[in-house]
Amino acid sequence: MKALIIKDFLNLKHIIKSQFQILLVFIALGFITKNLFFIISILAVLSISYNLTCFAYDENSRFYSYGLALPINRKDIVFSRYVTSYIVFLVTSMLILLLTYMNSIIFNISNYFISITLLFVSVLLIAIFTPIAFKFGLEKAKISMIFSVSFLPIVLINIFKSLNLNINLNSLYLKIIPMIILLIVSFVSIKLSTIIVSKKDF
Amino acid sequence: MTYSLQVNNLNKTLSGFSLEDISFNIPSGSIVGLIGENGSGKTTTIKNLLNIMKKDSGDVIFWDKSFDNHEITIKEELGVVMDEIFFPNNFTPIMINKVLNNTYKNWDEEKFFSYLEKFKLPKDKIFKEYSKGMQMKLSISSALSHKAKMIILDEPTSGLDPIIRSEILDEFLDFIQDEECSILFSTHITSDLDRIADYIIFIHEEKIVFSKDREELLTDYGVVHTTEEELDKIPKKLILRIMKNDFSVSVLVRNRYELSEQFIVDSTTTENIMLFFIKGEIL
Repeated sequence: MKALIIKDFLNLKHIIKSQFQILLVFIALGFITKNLFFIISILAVLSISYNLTCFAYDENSRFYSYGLALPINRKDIVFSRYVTSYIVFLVTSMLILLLTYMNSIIFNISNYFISITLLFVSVLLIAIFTPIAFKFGLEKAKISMIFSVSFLPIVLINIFKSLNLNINLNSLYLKIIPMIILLIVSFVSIKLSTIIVSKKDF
Repeated sequence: MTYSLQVNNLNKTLSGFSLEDISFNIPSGSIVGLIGENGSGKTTTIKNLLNIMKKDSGDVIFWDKSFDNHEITIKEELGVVMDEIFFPNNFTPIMINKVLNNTYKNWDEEKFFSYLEKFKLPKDKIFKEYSKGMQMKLSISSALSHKAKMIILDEPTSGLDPIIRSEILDEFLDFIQDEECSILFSTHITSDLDRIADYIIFIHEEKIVFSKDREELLTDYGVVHTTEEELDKIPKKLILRIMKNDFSVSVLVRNRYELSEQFIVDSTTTENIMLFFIKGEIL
């Protein structure tokens, strides 16, 4: 599995290198406009797009055919992809939280709730996207991603509305329930991907 | 005789395609060519051997060990070269070394870089800037750098110029010097097999037509050029395939020396035999 994670990060190294300078420009722009929220939302999108990038490289090089001829389990192919995605997510999350903190300290703009919602949605999208990409390939998974981004918020908002919940932003439930949802969704996603890959012909 | 690989009744059904009861053996210390036209099932057979595709049924046994029960240990001793790109386009050999060093227990970094030098492959050039021949050489260097006991190659020489093909075939002959090692390679370039293969497995329309010692095959099979009227004089049991044109009939026969008194029986080539089985008719 280690080899596959190394492969993914070697792939991402090129992308991250090329995007780093653009990110610095956006951070500078954030300081000029006195609001870092734009760069925060870009980072949230990037945390998902790196997952897409890994699939794109593997599909273009038909890596799975070759990878499965190496002493590598099908399970390792699945787990390594999630590990890479979650490592990238953790790093971007830390950057997002740091920038959110800077936004509140320097510019007096508090975006904590929105930033954490973005992170929640990012993990949710990775969980939805990954099994679809393993099953149907990157192109169809991208469509599912666009569909999820467009409709998921509407569905979630309507569910919350219909439940008629009186949401208190500081309530403990609001901090714990999303974590539990993420854990369940991620577990189901990993399980599904494992089943898909274990039966798939590459 | 000891076998590196035994395949028994391998079956796989895909939509509009079905491998049926594929069975063959690969003796240790031999080079075996898997031949057949495009779409005959060569790549599907190789992918099913290696669990890249999930077989429906059948046994695959490497070195007397069931592949189903010892997949990872067996793959440690296999080198595989596929006919397509094998690492992302932006990878350099240095990056490939990093990944494979963490994949194989017996990865030999020094050997890998010595192959790169031998094949004149720049270490820091990215994969997509390599020519097709260089990509294949890199792929073969990777397959030969972890003390593999068997190399499986899918169309390693297709699309390569004769010089590169010759270099690659020499490398196979070097590899086989250790009698424990063996090679299975699929190809439709039969001249490569005439140079190095010990055995030929011919696959046609998803079934194995024959699996034979190459020299025996070329000694046993022959071609008779005759007419429709004379055709009846050839015993039917010796006729494998016939190809007719307006003026004559060409007949692929076995036990060619049985006919040598009555007919002029030409020797044949692997390519010719393949052509007869694909284009010819059964009497």
